[in-house]
Amino acid sequence: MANSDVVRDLLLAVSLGDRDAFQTLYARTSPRFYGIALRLLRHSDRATVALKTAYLAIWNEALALRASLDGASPGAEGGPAGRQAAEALEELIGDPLCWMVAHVRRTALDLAREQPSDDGSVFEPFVVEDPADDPLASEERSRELLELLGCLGHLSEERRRMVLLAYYDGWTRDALSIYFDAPVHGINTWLRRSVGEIDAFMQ
Amino acid sequence: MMDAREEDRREAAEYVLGTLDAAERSAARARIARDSAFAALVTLWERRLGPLHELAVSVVPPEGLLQDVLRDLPAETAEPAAAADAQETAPAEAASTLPTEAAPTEPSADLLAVEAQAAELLPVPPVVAEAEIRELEKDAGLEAAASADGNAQRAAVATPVVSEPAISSTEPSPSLQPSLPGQKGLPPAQPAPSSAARNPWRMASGLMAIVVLGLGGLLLRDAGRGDKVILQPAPAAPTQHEAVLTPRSAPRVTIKLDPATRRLEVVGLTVPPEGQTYRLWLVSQNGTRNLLCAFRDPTALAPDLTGWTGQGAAMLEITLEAAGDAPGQGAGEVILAGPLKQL
Repeated sequence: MANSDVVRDLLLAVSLGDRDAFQTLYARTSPRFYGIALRLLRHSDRATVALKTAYLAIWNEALALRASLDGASPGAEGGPAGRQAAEALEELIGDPLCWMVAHVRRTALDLAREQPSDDGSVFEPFVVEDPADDPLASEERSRELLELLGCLGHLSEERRRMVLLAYYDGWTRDALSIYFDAPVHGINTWLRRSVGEIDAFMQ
Repeated sequence: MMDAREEDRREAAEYVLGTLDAAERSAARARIARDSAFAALVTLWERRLGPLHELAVSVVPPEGLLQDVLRDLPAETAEPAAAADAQETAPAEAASTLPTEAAPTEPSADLLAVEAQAAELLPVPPVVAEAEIRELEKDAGLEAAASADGNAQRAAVATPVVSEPAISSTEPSPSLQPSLPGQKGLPPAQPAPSSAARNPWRMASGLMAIVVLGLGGLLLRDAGRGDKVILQPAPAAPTQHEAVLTPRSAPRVTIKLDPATRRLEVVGLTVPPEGQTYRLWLVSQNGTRNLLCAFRDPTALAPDLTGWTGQGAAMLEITLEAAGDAPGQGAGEVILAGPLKQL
């Protein structure tokens, strides 16, 4: 079963208030999510806060999804009804892993912007002293990722790098401006063009 | 000149990308709350860029974070009966369909029916599996794996980008390129201070670095697979391991596993109901699941530890299944689970 399918089933259980499923979900996803938050925030204490906030939001939002799920597939948990619930969940949130990742990045980026770190650590290469085996690791890359990478491949190298630095390292336009030694308005233009091109490719 | 709609799309994209400053981000958040069309654009971009998480580097989260989160969850609501079924389905199905080395599992058509049956016959209450999967042994080969030859896999990941014609080659070579002959056009690594070249982790800011590091993990996992062995981690001397499985309100079940003597000892588990059997599974950190043994009498076990070197295992799980079912048909509701710790 693909990661997204497992996570989807766990999320369905969490939407019923199942704490055991929530713990399993945490075990499966937290190494990757912590890595994402740590790279955005660069400080373990801040990444921990962001991850905690994100998981609490995931719990609360999963519970909030229940009403919609019940409406879409009453009494569903197994067999065709279970599949109906799974489809309903996917309809509501899309890929469940991407949905969770969005929560993690959102909370980490909010924290990064509201309480910016002044120590310049954001410009340091991301050093992992405690890399984890990733329960989500898979030899297969999703079709969606391959499509996105193909799309990014159409950008010029600098603009592709800019997008990736923003996504993975959470760099603002100011930070990108320093790194690329370009005025902020120039970065703005590059970002705007990059986003427009990605938008056009993916539509 | 952008029209308002285009401007909204750009703003939503930059919100998701993370390039907005504090004030802009705060304004975007407020707009998401009141403007459903804008919120939908944000969701669209979150779904578009979300798959990049597949290339992210994983890091061991702080111990205690899960407990911290659980403590702050809202007070327990009445647990619907259906919740238990849903919970069981996910991990059991997941494990039964993940690739296994010993391939003890087969797909089952009547998975759900058997699961329902098992749920009624639980000899112990549902268990709270310790969710913190600990890294059992730090592998000194990880850095080597991260930078080891894995060109075939790298190429597989990078193919869509490599194939694009519009990639500029005017940038100075990123620090990883020397190790990637023939990989022209691969996504660049973030230029790093010179010391970075000595440590693969220090190169991990650009996409290529991410790909390599991500594959580093894969390479390690591949090491145990016969068909794609790229890097073999150094075998560890066999040492005793122990997993403590803690049901919510039942006696603690302890399993001791000694790879040297091939002995496995289970303490605290009662004989299952007639017609049922326990099955003990070793679940590695990448989700691979190997059947160690099936048993009814916890004092008489004949585990198959041939596939286990003491490395890479993350968890033990016990399923309760109908005795007549083939192992791993998915009927196995996981009734006990706990992480393996080295003693």
